[in-house]
Amino acid sequence: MTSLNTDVEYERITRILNSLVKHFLREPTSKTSGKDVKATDLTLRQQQTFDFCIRILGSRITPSIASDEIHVSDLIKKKLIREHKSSSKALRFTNLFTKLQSQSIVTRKWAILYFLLSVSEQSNIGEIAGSVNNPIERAFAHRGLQDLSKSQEFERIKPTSEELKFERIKPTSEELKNRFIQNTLPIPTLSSKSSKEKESLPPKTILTKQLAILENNNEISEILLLRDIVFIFQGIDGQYIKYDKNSSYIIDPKAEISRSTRGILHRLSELGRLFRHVNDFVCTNVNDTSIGLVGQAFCYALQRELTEYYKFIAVLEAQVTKVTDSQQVEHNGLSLKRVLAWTQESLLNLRMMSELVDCCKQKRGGALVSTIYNYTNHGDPFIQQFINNMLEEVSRPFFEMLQRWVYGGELEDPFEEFFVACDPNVEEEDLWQSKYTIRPDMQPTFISPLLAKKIFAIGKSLNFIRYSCHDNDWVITNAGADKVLKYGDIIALECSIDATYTVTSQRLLNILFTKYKLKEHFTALKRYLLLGQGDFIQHLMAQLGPGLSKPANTLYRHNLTGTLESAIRASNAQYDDPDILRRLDVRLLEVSFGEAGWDVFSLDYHVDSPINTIFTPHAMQQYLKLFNFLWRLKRVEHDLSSAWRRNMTNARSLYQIEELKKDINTSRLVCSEMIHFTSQLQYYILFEVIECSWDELVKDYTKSGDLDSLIEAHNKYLKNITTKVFLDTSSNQSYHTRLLNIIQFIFQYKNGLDELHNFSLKEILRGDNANIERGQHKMIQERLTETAGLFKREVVGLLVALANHHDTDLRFLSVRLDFNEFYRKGLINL
Amino acid sequence: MEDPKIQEAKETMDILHEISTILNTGLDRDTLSLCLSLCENGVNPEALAAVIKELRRESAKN
Repeated sequence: MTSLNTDVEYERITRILNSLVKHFLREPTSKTSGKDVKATDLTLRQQQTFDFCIRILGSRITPSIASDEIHVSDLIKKKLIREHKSSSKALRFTNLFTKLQSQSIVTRKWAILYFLLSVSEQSNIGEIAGSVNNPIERAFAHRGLQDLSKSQEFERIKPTSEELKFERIKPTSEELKNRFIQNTLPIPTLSSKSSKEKESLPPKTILTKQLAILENNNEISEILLLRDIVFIFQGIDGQYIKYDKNSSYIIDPKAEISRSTRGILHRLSELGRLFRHVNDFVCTNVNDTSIGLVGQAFCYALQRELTEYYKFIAVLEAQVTKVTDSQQVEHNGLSLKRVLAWTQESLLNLRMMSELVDCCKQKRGGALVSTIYNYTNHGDPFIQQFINNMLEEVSRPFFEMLQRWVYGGELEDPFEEFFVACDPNVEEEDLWQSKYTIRPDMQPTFISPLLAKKIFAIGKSLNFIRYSCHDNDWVITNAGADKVLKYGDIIALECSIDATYTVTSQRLLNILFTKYKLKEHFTALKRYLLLGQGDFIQHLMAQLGPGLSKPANTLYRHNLTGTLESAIRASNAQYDDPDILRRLDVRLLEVSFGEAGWDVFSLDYHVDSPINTIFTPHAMQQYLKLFNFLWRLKRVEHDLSSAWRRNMTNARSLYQIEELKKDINTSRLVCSEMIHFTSQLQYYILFEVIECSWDELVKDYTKSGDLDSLIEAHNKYLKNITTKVFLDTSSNQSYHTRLLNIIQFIFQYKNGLDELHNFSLKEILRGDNANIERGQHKMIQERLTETAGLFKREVVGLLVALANHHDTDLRFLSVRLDFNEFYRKGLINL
Repeated sequence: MEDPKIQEAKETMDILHEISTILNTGLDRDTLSLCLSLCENGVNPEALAAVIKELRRESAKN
């Protein structure tokens, strides 16, 4: 700008200002000569004011806004909306502003607009300040507290005439002129401005100004703190804020930071702390394979979230750098408070992550998944969404394992994270029962126990089909189901699991019933071990009878096997499936001294894989126990009938001896009593117990959905039988011993009867019918009477117990045994 | 007919005066035109506002 130009400008400004002053301060005297615009015509007061105004204009109050008309118009609009609570005035202003923009006369539109805005703000303040001007308030103000804001302002803006005298050099017009020009120039640098001000301003003003500068210098500028806080966000120590060992950030206590700023910094540093926490966890675990696949997925998900966070920090850092470069905190609008507002979302994210890290530290696998899942019930949709996203990532390996397990039966779980565990030491035979187990703590909570059980059963069935039933093809073809299981849709998951479960279970049962003839095995066991095949048992007993009477240690298995073969051939059993007959075998129980062959003989039925999953060793033991009892009963019946036959065939000759006639008669009565008992008992066992239970079993296994229910049905069947046949020693001890006693007495009686027969035959052969050996006769007679008495007492005891039994079947048994109330008398006596 | 330039100047003054009324500045048309010319001559608007304030205070003293 040339000096000529500035001179002209200065002249113009003084002229206009002059008229402005005159306009405001119209003296009564000057009213007449108001048209005169020369500076010399001013009154003293006008002159003083004029000087002061020149000084104000010459001062370096820099415009605090950018010289942009759009920005100013925005400010005005905001002010209008704020003050009038409606947009009508703002709209009007917008219209006017657009008109103004089209005008070409005004070159510095922003200046006039900003001027108007400033004046408008002044007049608002003036209204409020004006109220203090009333005399009463002023009086109070003087007596009590001074209106500080007003007096300060006064001092700053208008130095009294006294102070004006102190001023070293009254600014010449030249100086003032220069200052005007500078004001129109872009903002001067801070240092040059302050140094010049020191020279030109009156001492008191300098003092206040310096004080202000001092204050500003002591306080650490926000820019520095902003830079610090960005470091903190990344877990790096800043200049003033440092990480403490006690997992918190400490602001340097010596730093001059105001209390409120400290508060904000503390709040901001939480982000840094959380970040450190999460980042530490990720760093230590991301390469540590021991936390398992799910744990690694968790780390990955965390890292992904942290990447988002890094992006945010990068943006923030860019902003901060921009601010630091331009040194304009206010204008750019980046402040600690603003950063605090911006970081709220990240803070929430990091808080949740840190929370998850805390509670998932010690967990792994399914437990980790369920821990995270527990947070999905949070009421805040934002948190829910976050957790769901997280969970989708974290549960991915879990669902992969699930998929392989459900569709291939493979258990790929190197870190034991799945809720199905496999014991590699378990033999293939026990695959179904004990190879696989559920780990309850690894079962995610979103998989219900029922669903978990199904999933468990599916995989187990697949393995069973593959390894025990040797049907690999089906598993492979079926595994082609390329469904992808993932977190999010539990209902769909349940559906597909249900479908797979049904298909797999049906397939398994189908294999068992067709390829492995499960039904035939059930029948065979019933026919041979539960004596359902009457003619076979009859033959066996007849052929084995003589041999089994010998001491047990003289028995040889191969002889017995031969007998068994011939019994099969002689009976209808020969038409049975050879595979089943092959399994039929003889078994000798452990021999102890003095036992007869009867005690140790037992039929056996071989079961192998896979049907031994159903016919477990325990079940087979039950079968053997049942067989032994039934066999014993059968033998009693057999013995009794042979005794009866002998009795009958020899009746005529026995009657020759008069003295024995009565004994023979009595024994016949007792014998028929016993036969009645055994046949009724046998009838009860075979028809009412075994056949009824069998019927139930058939019903159950036809409708059973999977192997487990089949096993359960079979176990129920066995338990039913053992309970009703009194072999269940736990609850019916007394019945069982009583029954065994009764059978024992029958044997004794039968032996006594044999002796009686032998004795009579001997006597007959001796030919002396009149003189029999009385001693021996007496002994036999006594023993028979005694045994008969014992037998009767036990039967009565049994009847009493049965009559009071809660089971109707057993009560019917007691009625059947005592159908003609023969034992009634004994019952009454008891 | 008036000079189009004067016409435009008048229009501008009308607009500015209306804005000034909306903003409730309490400046009359003459003052406004003086202030406008000051602004056009490169005076800092903020300083000018301070001057107006001062002048108002002075005139209120009377």
